[in-house]
Amino acid sequence: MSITTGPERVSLAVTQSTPRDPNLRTGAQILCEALLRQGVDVIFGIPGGAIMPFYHALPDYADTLRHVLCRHEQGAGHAAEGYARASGRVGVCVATSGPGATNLVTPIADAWMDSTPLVALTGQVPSALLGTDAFQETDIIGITVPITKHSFLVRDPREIPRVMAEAFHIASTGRPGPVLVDVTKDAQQSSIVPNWDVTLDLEGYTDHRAAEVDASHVREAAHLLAHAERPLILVGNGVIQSGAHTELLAFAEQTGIPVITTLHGLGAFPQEHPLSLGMPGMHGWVHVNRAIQRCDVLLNVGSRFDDRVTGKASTFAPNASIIHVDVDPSEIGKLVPVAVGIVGDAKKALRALGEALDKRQSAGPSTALGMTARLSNWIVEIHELRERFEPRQHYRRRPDSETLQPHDVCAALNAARHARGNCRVVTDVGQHQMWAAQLLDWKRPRSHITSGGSGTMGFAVPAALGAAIACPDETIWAVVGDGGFQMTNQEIATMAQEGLTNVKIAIINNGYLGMVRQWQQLFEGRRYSGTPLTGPDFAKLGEAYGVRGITVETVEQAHAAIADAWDHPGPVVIDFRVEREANVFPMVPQGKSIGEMMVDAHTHAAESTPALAGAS
Amino acid sequence: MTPTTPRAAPKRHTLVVQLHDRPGALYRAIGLIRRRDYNVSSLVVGASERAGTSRMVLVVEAADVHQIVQQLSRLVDVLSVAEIARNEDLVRETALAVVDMRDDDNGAVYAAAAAAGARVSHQGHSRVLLEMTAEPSAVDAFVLSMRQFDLRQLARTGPIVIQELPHSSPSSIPSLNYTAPSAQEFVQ
Repeated sequence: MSITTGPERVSLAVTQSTPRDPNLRTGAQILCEALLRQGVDVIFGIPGGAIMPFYHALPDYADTLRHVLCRHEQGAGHAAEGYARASGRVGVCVATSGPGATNLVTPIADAWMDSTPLVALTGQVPSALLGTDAFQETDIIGITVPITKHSFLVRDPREIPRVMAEAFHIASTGRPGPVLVDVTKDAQQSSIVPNWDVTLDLEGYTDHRAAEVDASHVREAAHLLAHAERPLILVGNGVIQSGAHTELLAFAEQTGIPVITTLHGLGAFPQEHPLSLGMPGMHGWVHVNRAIQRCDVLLNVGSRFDDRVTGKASTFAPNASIIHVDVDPSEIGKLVPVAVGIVGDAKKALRALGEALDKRQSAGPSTALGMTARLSNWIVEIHELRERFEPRQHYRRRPDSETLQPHDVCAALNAARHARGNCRVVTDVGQHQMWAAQLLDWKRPRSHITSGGSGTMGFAVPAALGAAIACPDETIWAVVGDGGFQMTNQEIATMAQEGLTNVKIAIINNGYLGMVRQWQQLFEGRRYSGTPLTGPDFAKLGEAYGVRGITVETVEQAHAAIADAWDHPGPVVIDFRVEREANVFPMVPQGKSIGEMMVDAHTHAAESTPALAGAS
Repeated sequence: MTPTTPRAAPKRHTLVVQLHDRPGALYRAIGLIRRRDYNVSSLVVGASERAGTSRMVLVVEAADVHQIVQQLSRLVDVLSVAEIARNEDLVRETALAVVDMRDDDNGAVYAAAAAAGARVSHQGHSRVLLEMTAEPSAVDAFVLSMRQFDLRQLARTGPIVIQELPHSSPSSIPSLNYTAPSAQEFVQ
């Protein structure tokens, strides 16, 4: 044997000694270069067996491609989401095959529900082992099919330049969303000379943002708006994603139509503007939901009639002709019947609608009076509603309690934000998320980042990490419950290792999974099943991670701690120990019409029927 | 939680989808149907006129397929989606039936097969393989008629569809008045 194999070995050695083509790259190097070509400068990830070749290549690109080592792939995924949501760019997360990839499923689902541009890069077992239950093999493409915009399995390094260009194109255009690129280990290892002169092979894909909006639909919509007596504008994430806030402001001021902003629309319209009404839906304001039920034309720009906004959909806006502007044609007419659907970019649609209304106004003397004057009765009506209900819903406290309220924390944070500015807030999911949405003032797009559609607890801490890296000159506040905090707080170690100075974590600690507890209190006779929650001393936990930790139990301490955290050049964890059974109001019970709102608590009297703000 | 609107009764819908012939494309398309919990009555995927693409004909039972059509169109690998409801589309399905015959009923089997328009594909002593290609309602009738005999095996392809018919004399195409049978009709 040794005699026959000997010469072969010699000839191999000769082959290897021939000079390498300097343009040869491993698949892993091509992946790095593809990321750089897409303008990526930071990625969030964790290495592992099947992605090791990629990690082997990374140090060669370290001065242009920053890798943030997270502590859990879910953290890496949410960090990439936070980065994307704060910056408007595509977030990138990296994981190995098997458990690494499955840990990305939650953030991928979250990005899918909130239309966040995300590219998830996963290692896969060598192609020869695909489908054999190899070590750490999981069919991650199969698992993520329903929650990705598209996905690619790469088995040949020659495909990487085209696949990566397509992945970023799909993730960032049209209605943005997550794209998975699963690369086998051998495709990362083998060397080729990459051809970067690629054309996208995406015949079946339409970027509806690039197309012009249909002029006849715009005319129909303008006609409806021009004749409306009680019109409303409802805006969501689409306005922020499109960067259409300037156009929205111009359109609202041109027409005098009041604006309501969904959870994901917060910041799309300045809250202090006289035409700003606030948030609708399950925990929206009474005057907003009432206005929706009263309006005769509802112009929805970039929001998708989520059930948390509409309540019982068949009773939503019963008097309104609905105009729906959405970049995704499959959203139009999905949940509520629409009078006019406009497919396309929010910016283009708002401009076109503004121009169409302008034309109408200048065309005939009958409409020359303008819409703004005509709408004055409507505006007065809404303001009366607001004055009637607002004092009952703001900063509501139990009179017999001296305990720190979550509302006090929001008020203190709001005051500090006004004083200092230059800040974004990332919230988690639950009561604190609603308090923050209701009680903080939202003034600019991308300053409010939360997990909306998916409602992913554990989102805030890692997403704040990503946002802090995206916006190094701003202070990022994570507002999070003690339940959600305990799901992903390991990313504080990442913040410490990265030496971040601009991220602060405010834990609204009530010792419960509070939103579930609230439902149990209001609808299940206070049967607190699985909701009481203990935790470590969060301030000490922060200190254990090497960051500053503060415990707060009074309003005075709250103001001081927020100021201290803001000035401290490093991450800070503040444990706000708040009233345990504070509730979020107003509230529309699940499955009810948004015309039926609980505005008052009597929350400590579990048996009492909470007051309903009239039925529609 | 109760549904927001009462669901209309499910109806049969025939969708024609042209998609890239790539790994995963079919999986994504079918996954959308599964997500809605629609029952797939039949699914035929095969070559289309264009290299690298397939034509898929899908029969689903659903109250309304508008949303599914929109969501299928959204898939990156899907080139076109159409719901077939028009009379001018040509719809064909093939059935193969193996029927065992007794001495006293073989005449009736052949007569019923001939009446339905099937042809004898393979003939044994007491067993016959019948082949029927026709519009699905005619295939239904053929199958129904064979069930009165000793039907040993039945295989059906599910419908395939041609949408752009040549403008030829109508007589050259036998019968085009296809309407999808209702679920109830179909299971009889």
